Amino acid sequence: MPKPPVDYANVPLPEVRIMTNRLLSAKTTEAVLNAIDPIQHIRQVNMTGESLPAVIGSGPGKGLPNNHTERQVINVAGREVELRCLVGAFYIELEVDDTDMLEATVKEIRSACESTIPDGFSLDIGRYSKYKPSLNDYRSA
Amino acid sequence: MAEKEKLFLEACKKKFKEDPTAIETKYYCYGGWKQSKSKVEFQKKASEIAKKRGFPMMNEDIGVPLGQRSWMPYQLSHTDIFVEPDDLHCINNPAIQQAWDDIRRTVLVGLDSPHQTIERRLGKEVTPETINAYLETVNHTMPGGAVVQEHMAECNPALVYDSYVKVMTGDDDLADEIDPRFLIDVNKNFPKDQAAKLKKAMGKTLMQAVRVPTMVGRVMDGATASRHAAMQISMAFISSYKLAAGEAAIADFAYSAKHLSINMGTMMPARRARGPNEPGGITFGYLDDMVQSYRVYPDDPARAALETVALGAIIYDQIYLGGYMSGGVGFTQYATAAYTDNILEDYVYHAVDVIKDRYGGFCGIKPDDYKKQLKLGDEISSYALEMYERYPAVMETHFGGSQRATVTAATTGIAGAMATGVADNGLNLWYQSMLQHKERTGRLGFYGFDLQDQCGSANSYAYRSDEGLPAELRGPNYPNYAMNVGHLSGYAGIPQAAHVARGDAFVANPFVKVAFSDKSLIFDFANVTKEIGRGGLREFEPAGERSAVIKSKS
Amino acid sequence: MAKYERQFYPGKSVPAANRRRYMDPKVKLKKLRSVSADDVVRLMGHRAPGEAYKSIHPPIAEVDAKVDCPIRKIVEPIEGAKTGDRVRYIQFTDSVYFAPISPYQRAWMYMSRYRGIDTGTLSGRQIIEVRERDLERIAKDLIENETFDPALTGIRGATVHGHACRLDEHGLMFDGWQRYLWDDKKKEVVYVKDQVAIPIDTKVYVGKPDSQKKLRGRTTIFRADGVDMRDDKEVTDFYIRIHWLRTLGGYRPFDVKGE
Repeated sequence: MPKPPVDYANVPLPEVRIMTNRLLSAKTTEAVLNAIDPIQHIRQVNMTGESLPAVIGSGPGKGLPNNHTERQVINVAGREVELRCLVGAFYIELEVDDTDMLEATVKEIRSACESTIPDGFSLDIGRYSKYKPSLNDYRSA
Repeated sequence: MAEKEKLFLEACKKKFKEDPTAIETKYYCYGGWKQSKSKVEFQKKASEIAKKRGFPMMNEDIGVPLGQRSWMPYQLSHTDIFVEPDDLHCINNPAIQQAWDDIRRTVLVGLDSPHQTIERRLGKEVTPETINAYLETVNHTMPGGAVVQEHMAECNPALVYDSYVKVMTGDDDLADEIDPRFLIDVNKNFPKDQAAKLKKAMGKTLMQAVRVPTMVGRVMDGATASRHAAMQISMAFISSYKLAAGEAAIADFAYSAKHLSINMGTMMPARRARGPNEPGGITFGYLDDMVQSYRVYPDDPARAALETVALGAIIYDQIYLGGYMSGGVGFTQYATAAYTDNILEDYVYHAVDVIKDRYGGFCGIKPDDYKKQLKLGDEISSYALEMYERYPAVMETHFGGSQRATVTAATTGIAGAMATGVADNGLNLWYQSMLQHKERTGRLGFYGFDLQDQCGSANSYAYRSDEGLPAELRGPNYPNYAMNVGHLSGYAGIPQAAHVARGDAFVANPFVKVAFSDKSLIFDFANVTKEIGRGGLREFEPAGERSAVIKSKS
Repeated sequence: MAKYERQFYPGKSVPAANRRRYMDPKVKLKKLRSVSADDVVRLMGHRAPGEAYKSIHPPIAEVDAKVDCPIRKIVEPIEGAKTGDRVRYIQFTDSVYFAPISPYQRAWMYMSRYRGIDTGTLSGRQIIEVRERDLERIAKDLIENETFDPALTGIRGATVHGHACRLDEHGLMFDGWQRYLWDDKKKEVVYVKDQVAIPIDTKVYVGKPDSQKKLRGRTTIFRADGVDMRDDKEVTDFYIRIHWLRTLGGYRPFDVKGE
């Protein structure tokens, strides 16, 4: 049988995905991030959620300020971050040496979430984010 | 955790650190279009262009502000490739373009008729030696090489390197005599059982798979493919059989090559305002035969259906309906739901398990046992809807209800086709799913989307002209499907599902199946989603590039 | 021949019963809140409260006098048509998380209860278009009655995104333009913008959301984590029957008889 001509061996670092049962307020998001921040072996934390535009982008109100109450500047570990979405998921990329370290780190993350997310969440381990540059990332060309 | 998995983690960490670009993958931290690296680059590029040409170009601040959610990357289903939605736009993605190029530039031209002309009308002998000599000649003429006349302008080989002619036949003895460089070897390319079926269907016919240069389709149109092929084939006959270019028999070569050849796209009615051999004319059966998953992965019939859905999404939804018919930025975001994030994957593999566990396996339900089929349809469609209801992440992955409707109905249709081995039964369950979806959730797709789905039950088994066709022969131009964005990919998967469930080696045309098994094609039709992903990762090298004749700027 | 008695919807489950109730024009829907006529006008944003209706043609009585049209003799025009009002709209977004009503049920209900309307159904939103003064009357009904829940029903003319999103911490359906807010003191939902997100001068309170538990008793939506449609045999049989009759109608129409 002929073998497929293309093959991929690129393997990424694992990510912990936290999907919250409710979309989080800015206050809760800030609390979650500050609880996760001190945990070791985390390379980066990315958030996703529903967009809170600064300005009404279409329709008769186009151009008016949106003034969404949850579009706030939050403080994460002393750094100000302008929140532009109602957060519903965190993607936490880990830098771990072995499974023991992985499990210990996940345990800490779970505990941080339990203490800060009021309406519950689900936690999965896998890979969910892009890890290779794609067509439009000209910079790495 | 097993020791092996620990090693995997260690390996992936090393690998990851070696890739300097990956260190910068902080894409999704901030809002607005600036959260997206590609949008930032778009903006930078657009500003440069605007400055150069002296008036504005694309400006992301004019567009709708993006949400983090919408800018999560897409994972190409059954691969480990993640890309951004922009990477899947058919204008950006060279692999998607090449898939269509490779289809458009394929013309199947029989050699039996010209051989009869040579032998009976011109009284010359056709032997394996003369055929091989002809094939060598036609592989010179097809890319744009001149024969016969002097002082003819020729095409630059660097621009047309992808053009060639190979032959296929069901006659093993004849195949043995053909120069292997010019043969698409059914015995080598296909598993034994599939090869036997294909050879039986092809018989003794010697068929050419002509690939005109990608560039020809880009400069002219789909209809040009057969004309280009016919002209160069005629020239090759004149040269290799030492004929007088002016004699009347030559017209027979041109006639048979132009009018007895098989284009991949059939002609559409004038109101579509399209020439022949354009994507709207590709029947589902032909598109199914282009997909080579079942050839390479014969133990994974579900994959064959899913890969077909992916090819249908890029050719029918993105290029044809999104580009040719709608125009504008098109339907990328809509169509990609069918081949990203493993959602349809999950549902279809689940459906296969259900069919095997409780419905007698593939082809286990008789085509006229409607009661059992409706039970299966109800079960499969419910499962898909239930997944959306139980997992908000799945619900939110799609941007709208019509994507839920398509993915759910595609699953149900594929299940019906696999359970019966008949595409029309699968199609019928597609419409059952649509009605169930509407009844269950109190909502379905968008305003115009619903029409065809609510009246489709009535045409699912219709065979008579103007009312219906077997699913294999339907296509984007079937009356009820002509406006069905987001549906065509799923429809295309249904006949494939039926035929792989039966163990068939092809769906509609054995020559199409064999022609697309050729390794000299630029796009790999056995790994459709992977190829689209490679396009997104800039690993795909398309043909038809002009860089060979353009002075380098750097 | 027995007198035809109109039927509305099959099924014994709660969502099926609610569908029947909403569709049946003889059922008077419960009024759960009061919103003044002026506030309804504010929420829609087509005219300012107290402003005269704009007209697009002379009163029908004047036009009719000049036209001999049998249809006009048969059909009694609705009030807004009589006066020549513009056709205006209200659009609702209904959350998948047990909103009291869903888009198709809105269409069925509107067709069953109102005259002179045009309605359009999508997966996440549902529009009703009608002459302006009639629209205001209908919109008031729809905001005050039991088909509306302050948290899970949105009045949204544009950017309706949110029907399939998770709810926020207060249980409100997501709205990127935040036309309505949670008033934590009053424990009520209050509109601060009209349906196309232009701020309004006077806040419009639309009351307290119902609990998820109670909403499950009010909804028309079948869901795996609520009432699964498969558990309502009559509804399941009904949709399969429709599908099957349509199938036969196009395939073997001679076999439809007796089915």
